[in-house]
Amino acid sequence: MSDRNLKKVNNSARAEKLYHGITNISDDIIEEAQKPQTHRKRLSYGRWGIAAAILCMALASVLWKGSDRADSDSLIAEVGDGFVTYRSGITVSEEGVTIPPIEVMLGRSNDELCMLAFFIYQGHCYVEYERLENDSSKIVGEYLGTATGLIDEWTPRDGYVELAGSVEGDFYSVKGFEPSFLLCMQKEGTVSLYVREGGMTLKTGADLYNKWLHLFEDYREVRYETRASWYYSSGEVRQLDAPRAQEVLDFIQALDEAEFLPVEEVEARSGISPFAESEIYHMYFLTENGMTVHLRLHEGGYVRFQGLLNICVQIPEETFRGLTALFQ
Amino acid sequence: MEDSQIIELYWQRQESAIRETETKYGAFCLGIAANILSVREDAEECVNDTYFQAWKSMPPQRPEKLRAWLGRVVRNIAINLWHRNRARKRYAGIQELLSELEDCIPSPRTIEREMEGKELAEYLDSWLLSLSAVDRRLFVRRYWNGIPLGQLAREQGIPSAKLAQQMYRLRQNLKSALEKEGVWL
Repeated sequence: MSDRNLKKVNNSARAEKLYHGITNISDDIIEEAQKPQTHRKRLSYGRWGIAAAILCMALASVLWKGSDRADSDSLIAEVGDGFVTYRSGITVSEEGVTIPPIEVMLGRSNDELCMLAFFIYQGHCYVEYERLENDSSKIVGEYLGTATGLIDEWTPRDGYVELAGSVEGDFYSVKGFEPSFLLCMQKEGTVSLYVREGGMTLKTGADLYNKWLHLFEDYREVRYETRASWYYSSGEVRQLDAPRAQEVLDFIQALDEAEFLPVEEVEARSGISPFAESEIYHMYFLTENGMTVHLRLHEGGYVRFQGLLNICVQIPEETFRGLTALFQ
Repeated sequence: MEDSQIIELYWQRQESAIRETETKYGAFCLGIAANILSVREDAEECVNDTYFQAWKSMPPQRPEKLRAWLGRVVRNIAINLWHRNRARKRYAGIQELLSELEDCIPSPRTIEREMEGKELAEYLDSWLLSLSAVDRRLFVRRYWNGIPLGQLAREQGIPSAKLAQQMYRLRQNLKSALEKEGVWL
């Protein structure tokens, strides 16, 4: 055997030894890596009236102050006349749930930021939501600007300026959608969609699912998978035989009617933290233009849109059960 | 069902132990095996062997963390299967993993002593704990769970090319750490 081949064999054996070493790392480190991803965790609210929400949060705050929970004080930043502002910057008032611009990004750790593809346009963060690969260029609209890609995990806050971001390249509007909500980038045959993360007030689901995502009129197919299938990427995605079944239509209607809540409040109210732990299904509405409206369904009837994970709506139990019965 | 209850079923020699294991960790085990072997039928065989191994091992064993224990068994069975079949089958997953792990092998110039088995695992623990939580998670999910880069990139929400760079930096970090220790694999 030549020296070169011998070296190759030796390296292969050593790599295998390392593989076995990795096999035997500690249980705690393994378990930590299996926990659901929470780097895109956001907040959400529900059907309660504003007064009830304020009361609830104030009570939670008081209770937590008396407990040993280290992060108990971190939930509410301000309670004012008819509004509650959370530490995350999200405010709940009669107008709805307001997600502030940029601060959503600045509130994240550097580790979180380096994991996201995003850029800043007109003072708002647009975060990558989905990549479309099959002949999706037809949805690319007019050129709007070029992201400079100058932000990384070491960038100070004052580096978060217009057109900066963790990705660089030309970006465009998406045909049929408001550029104030959805933009796209096109690279090597792949179109990436970017959803605006903040600087918006949403009252009911219709503000998002109807006005911005045109969910009801546009979808042609419904797919779903369990949380486990999604998390472990096992690909056990199923398709509903009747995408316009009454249960689905009822679900969309309930989605439109329900009021938004910050996830923070739901966590406080339900004691489920992180909220991701209560997730049971992922649901995908495939729309005519190739975009997928990806929803996360949680126990208790909570529903989040994948592009805005810090808020959710809660739909009536019966409607939720009717929908999930189709998945079983 | 709680892990302790599943383990208890094994100890009571109840066949439902395997059913409960499959329900709770079947997808997890299959995911690891499929990532390593890239051949569905072989991955399924590997998972079945894992259940059999669990049946043989409990009792006397009582794993503290059932999921991690099962994952280790799957990894061991998968690499043994690779050894048996590699002459006639190409298992892309394990070949990519081992090829990437070759980047971590320290240079012979730095050798002072050879690190083996348990000591190596303990060293890897301490190295992993020195990383940020995000890097640690990336390394474990890539090299313990065997999740392919593209899939991991989607899971993390970052472009594949950027993740590949991050993974390369992590491998180089491990290589330097091993070289500083003067150890050989």
